[in-house]
Amino acid sequence: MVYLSSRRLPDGGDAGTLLDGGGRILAEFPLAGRGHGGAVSPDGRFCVLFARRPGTNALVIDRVQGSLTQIIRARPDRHFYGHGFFSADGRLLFATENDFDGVRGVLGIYDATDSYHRVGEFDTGGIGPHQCLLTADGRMAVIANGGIETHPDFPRRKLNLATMAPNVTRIDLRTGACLDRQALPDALRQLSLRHIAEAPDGAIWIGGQYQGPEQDTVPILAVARPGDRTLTPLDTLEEDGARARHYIGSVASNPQTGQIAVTAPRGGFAHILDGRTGRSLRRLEIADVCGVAPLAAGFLFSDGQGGLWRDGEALTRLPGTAWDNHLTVLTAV
Amino acid sequence: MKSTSAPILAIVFGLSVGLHPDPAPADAAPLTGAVSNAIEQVIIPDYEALVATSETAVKAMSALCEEPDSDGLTRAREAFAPLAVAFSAVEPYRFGPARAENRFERLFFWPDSRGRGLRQVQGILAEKDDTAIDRESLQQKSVAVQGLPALEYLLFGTDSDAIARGDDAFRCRYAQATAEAISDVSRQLLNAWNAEDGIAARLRNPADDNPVYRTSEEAMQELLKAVRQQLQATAELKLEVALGDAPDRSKPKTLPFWRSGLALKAIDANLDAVARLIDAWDLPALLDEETTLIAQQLDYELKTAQDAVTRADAIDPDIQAVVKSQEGHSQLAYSRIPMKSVVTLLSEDIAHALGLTVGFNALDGD
Repeated sequence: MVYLSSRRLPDGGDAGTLLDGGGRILAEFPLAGRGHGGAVSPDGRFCVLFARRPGTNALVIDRVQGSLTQIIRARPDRHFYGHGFFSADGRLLFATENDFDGVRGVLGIYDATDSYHRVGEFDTGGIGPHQCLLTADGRMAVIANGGIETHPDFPRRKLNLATMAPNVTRIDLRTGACLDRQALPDALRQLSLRHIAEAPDGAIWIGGQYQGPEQDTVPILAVARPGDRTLTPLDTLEEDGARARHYIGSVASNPQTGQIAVTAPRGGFAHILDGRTGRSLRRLEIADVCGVAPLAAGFLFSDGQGGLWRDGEALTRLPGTAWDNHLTVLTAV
Repeated sequence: MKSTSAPILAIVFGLSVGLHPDPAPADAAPLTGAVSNAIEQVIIPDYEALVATSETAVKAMSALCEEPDSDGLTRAREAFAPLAVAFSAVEPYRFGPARAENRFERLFFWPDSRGRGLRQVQGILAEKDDTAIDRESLQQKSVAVQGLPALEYLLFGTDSDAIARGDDAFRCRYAQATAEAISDVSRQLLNAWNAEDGIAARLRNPADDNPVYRTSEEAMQELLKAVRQQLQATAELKLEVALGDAPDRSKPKTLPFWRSGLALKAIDANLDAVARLIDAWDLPALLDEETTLIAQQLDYELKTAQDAVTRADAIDPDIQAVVKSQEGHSQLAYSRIPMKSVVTLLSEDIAHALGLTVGFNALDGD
């Protein structure tokens, strides 16, 4: 299996990276700044690496040519949030974006058959959309609207903590219509919902980042089940929540094993969960762990000190390097 | 974030943040001492000053509303200055009790890029909304209409002179309720810092069963982060946005406290608070000789930044005139350089020397 990620290089520069499940680097591309999430075309040939928010670039990489084929630029009144996906037929690329003057989230739509021209956008149904995914049936987008307002004039400053209202929204990809919108109980209004993964049973696993008091005992994971009216908070990590600084960095699903993995970079640990019960099967101590993606069995993890891990086992460490937040699994070519 | 700072003294920097796999272990006790000193010598006294100045502002408001005249308005405006300065000294502490119940935003809803707060305050004035003249019901309203920016507008904004003529009793009583709300939240913050089982106790007593800080390094890290974020906010969110790239492209009205002429005094108070906090850590006692030089450089850089801000402030009482002048613009643009140097020195050299590992993703994740 091949993965897409990005890393800080020893000279202080950044690079987009293709690597295999053993941690070997296959190809690298220079970046102007930190990279974030990735998207892969259904045939596996093209992948897109988004700049970290509030970035305005996304790189298109042709895996067959082994080269960078295009840089997609955000509209001047939009910026990328760092995540996106291809449509099931590979013709369109969708990306979460900030309409910062309109204070609303949008899913930008790019034509992959025509130099990634931006052909439109859908409303995401919330402020601060972060990760988004294509459902397994290929018909819907699921978007985690983190709820936090930001504006590029004030980079990364949270502007609406007192009134934030995160949700997870499903939209019909043919029409952009909102199919459903699920939120947490009001007491958890300050849990920013940001990273998601779809399990084989259609449940969406959500990792949150709580903006309330540091000593609070609150759930930082939740599940969105199709048809439910509200999200189900999971108390699996409650006791570890304050230790995690109430911060989940990535969520991944392994459809082969039915397991879910979540990472807590600020706590320096990850959990592998049973996808049916939500119970923790294993807790892994890995300093600054953030990226996670499924392996044939288990999960591949990356950390901010150049380390790659197969579950709890260290694979490689590149000195002077720091892996960025995410690992994206690419379909085999 | 990649560092773009240009330090004044030639210093060979270490690797980037987060790339120190094996930092030198630090002795835990001295770090706890540094944290305790910071709390006792700086943080709690600064919250006490915030409470005291807010109470003075409440008294001035209440006297003004009882007998509105221009002397009373002058006294109320004069009482606002020490309050804004006292707040700017505790502005770095956005964790702990400031995070609970949106206390930070209640005191300081900023930045307000779309002018939402101002529009809501103007709406209350236009409607003479009675729920805004009682402290408790005001606190049920939007955080944007009950803090320092709201009080500043009520006292210094358009038509505020009507208060002195006794023509706008409603505006006066709304301002009084705002001062009371500020005072109430300030008191809550001070009480939380003084509480036996509160934030100060958690910072001072790191342990495995401490819900937030396991080690003294983590506690120290919290204060380091507060300093770093404040300097970034002052240099980038406040000054960079206001200055633009030239005097004629500047936007001085994005600075907090421009109406009251306190914008630069508030920035100076940010810097002064940071300098006093760093001083309370007594870094030379924690570092080897070589790193002690860097501690001295911190002091020098902060003083350089403060001097530039003070020189700009002396140009004109009106911040718009300062920022639009070549000299004022250059002084303020220059002041950001040492601020950014301090951020780099703290997050790289000092953090490393103190054995504080800062994760690449943990530090500034997404």
